Amino acid sequence: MNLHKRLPSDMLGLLPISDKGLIDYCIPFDLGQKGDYQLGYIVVAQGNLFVLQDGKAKKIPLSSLASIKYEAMVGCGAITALDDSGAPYIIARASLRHSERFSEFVTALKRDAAGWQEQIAGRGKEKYCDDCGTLLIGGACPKCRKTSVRFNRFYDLCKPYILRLLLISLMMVGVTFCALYHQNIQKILIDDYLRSGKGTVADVLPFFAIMIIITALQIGCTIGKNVLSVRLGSLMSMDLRSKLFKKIQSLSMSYIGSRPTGELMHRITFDTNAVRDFMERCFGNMFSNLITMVGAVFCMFAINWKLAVLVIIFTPAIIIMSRMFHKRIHRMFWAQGRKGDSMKSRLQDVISGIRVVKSFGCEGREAEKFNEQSNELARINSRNECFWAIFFPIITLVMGLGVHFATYFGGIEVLKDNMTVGTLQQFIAYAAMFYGPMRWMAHLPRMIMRMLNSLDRMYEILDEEPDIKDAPNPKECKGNGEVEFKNVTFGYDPGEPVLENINFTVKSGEMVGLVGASGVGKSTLINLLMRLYDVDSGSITIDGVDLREISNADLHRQIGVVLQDTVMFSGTIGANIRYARPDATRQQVIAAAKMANAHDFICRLPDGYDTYITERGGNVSGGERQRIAIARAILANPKLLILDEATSALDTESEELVQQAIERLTGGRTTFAIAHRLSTLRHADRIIVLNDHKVAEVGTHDQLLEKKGIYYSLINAQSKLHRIKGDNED
Amino acid sequence: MSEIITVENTFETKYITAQNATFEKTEGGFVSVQFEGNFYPRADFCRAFPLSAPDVYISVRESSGKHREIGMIENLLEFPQDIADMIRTQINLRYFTPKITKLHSAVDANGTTTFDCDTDKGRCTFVIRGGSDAVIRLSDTRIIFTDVDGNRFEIADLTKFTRREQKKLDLYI
Repeated sequence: MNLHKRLPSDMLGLLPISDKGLIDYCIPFDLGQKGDYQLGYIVVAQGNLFVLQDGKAKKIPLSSLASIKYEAMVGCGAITALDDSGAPYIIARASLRHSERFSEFVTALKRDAAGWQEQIAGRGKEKYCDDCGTLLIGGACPKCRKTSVRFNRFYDLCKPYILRLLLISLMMVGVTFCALYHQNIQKILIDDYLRSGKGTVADVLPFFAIMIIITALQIGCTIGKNVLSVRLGSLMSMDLRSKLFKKIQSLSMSYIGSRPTGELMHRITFDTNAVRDFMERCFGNMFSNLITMVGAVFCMFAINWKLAVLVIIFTPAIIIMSRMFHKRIHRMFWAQGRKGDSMKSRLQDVISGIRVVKSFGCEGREAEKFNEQSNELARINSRNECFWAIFFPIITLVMGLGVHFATYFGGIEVLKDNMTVGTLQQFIAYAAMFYGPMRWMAHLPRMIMRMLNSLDRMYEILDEEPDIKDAPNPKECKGNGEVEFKNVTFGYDPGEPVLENINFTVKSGEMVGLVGASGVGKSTLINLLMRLYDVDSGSITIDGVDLREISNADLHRQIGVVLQDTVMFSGTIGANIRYARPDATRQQVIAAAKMANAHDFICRLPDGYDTYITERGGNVSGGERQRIAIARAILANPKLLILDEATSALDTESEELVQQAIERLTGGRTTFAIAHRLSTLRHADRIIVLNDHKVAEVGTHDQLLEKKGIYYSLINAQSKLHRIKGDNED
Repeated sequence: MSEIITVENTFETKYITAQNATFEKTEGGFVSVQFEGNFYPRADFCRAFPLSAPDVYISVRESSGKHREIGMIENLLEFPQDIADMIRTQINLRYFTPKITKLHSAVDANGTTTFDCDTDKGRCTFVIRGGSDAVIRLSDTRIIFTDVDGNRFEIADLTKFTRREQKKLDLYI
């Protein structure tokens, strides 16, 4: 986040330093002493922190701020510190709008105080526009950014399809031309042959033929236009989807982890669909409607300009009415949708929790609540439908008024002999062509905006630079898998380090157990080793090569992982075992399964290795899934192995099978194992105990027991727990 | 046969009253507590039912370390005025949920809605995202909005708003 906001001029005057260019940090906050909204700024300059608010500046020397911290509260947050006597005081308070910046600011001050060289940009993203304060969409201000930039993006998107677009335009012009010309033919037929009394049946026939041909041409062009538009839309959205998917996979965990899975899914499915929808339904019609309308207006003026003015003059009123009507309708049905949603989610709650409802005997209460919601929905539903049923015909009538005016005034002209009947018929047809697409066109701006917003959201991802990048000249990772952590510090959020100054070396082939309370950073350490995140400072090396200098693909080839919650992909067991090495032979797959103690149970399944398992793996038990995952890791043959709580969710019998498999797997490989059940770490060569973000103890099981430190007390606590469990079982 | 364990007989709550504890304002604008022979230089006051019953069952907690509970205030209204005010100031420090008093405008754009309104903490604008998570209906007349930053804004009583305002609000609740 930006910690160097521009200081407004009235605040600048308050700042009691001579050279205003020497500002290190400048951040805003929005709450005053009494808890009301009041803008203020914190400025750091020349070794002092200044709090500017309410026409005053308070000066605090940085040297007295060793204890500065950010405190999150409810709906607000404060920066506090301890004064000389150790009593806490508040430096500034702000609503949550500024909380992220507050905490990054405090971190930055602490880093500066610690004398750290590396400038680590905070992970937070600016949410509001610097210039106008509008909420940013897709990282850009929808107000300030010139629409031309956004249209350019759209243009870039269209560029590869320029030929198709030209073809579509040609079809559109064809449709319009046919529609306009058709009326002209009719006019000639009416005036010259029907009304004049000169025409014969033989004369009418060619007209009939011509009109059929024109209609056929028009239909042909319309079909061509529609088909091409649909194809183009699908192509473009497919293009975008694959681009997005590729990009999301290449982005780091810190980016993906920072947003809900649903949001990314939404971008890939919903936003690309929005573009497709636009191309299919709007883009083609947009131009053909526009051309038709312009053509109709042109023709009307050519026939009788006074009449044309009369017809067109009502356009703005009709557009406004139509938009109002649709806004109302949109709101009404939106409310209905929301009520429907809340009823659906209630239903889902109750049905999925039916055991709880029944066991506490709350069916009656649930039925009552449901009835209430159902009634409300029914009420809104009938109100909305009635409104629609009454007002839709009325609005249609109003929209048609222009045509009726044309008929009325045109009729008078005909009676005065200023106009022929055929011309009137032609004129009325043009008026109808002008008004027909009007209602649709009135919503065009909204549809375009919606598409551009979807594009913005997608480009936010496409423009994102992955923060875990492959080195330009990646080094190859040769050796036997010796791992070293050197002064490693890391935190997911600025100001909250999860690991601090971690140092240790793991020799090739050694098995290390990682132990500590939950939340102490064991899994984080593993994430760093897999380079799902980059360290904030310090370095991790494998065989002397920094992780950041190894290409990601190469690194992940060296590492095998067995997690507590085994991830299976929908597919056969065989395919899941082959996941990391798709070219493995059947013989190798079986060998790996045998090593993993999985072969026997797989063979007992009716479909053997071809058994289809679902994403959650519902049709195989936890222990079986775990063994499949181990087979997968064995087949990949990694140098480095990571076991994250691999046996914690298993019953005793399958744990033994898995344990055996793991022992075979770890033989000769550098292994990191995390386990809550400490008994599973008996075989570890060394155990590293993490406590309070740091390495607290290192040693073998026996050494640590002798030391009577943290590990000793953990073991004691667990054996007590086991005794209790044992008592219950007896 | 031992007694059946129920909620009532097992978990004893320590209640802090104006009689058994002393509260004092500190230099830095916090409140210190002297209770059962211990002195806490700064105490945090956390509401147990911040939405449904803001004045009863207030948990008084240590402000550092494990934030252990010192004791509970059963009902703030039973405290002498001066102490109650002192504690309320602390509570207001911790909780920031402006109450909307007047709605100037609500503008929809890009799937978000920007509200411009007067609150008991001053005028402000905030943006909520479309979708149901941003609005919680506590009762038929009481509503909480959560903006994109997580700030919460309360409508304490919908019926106190003008018809025009209610109509505008109706779309979001």
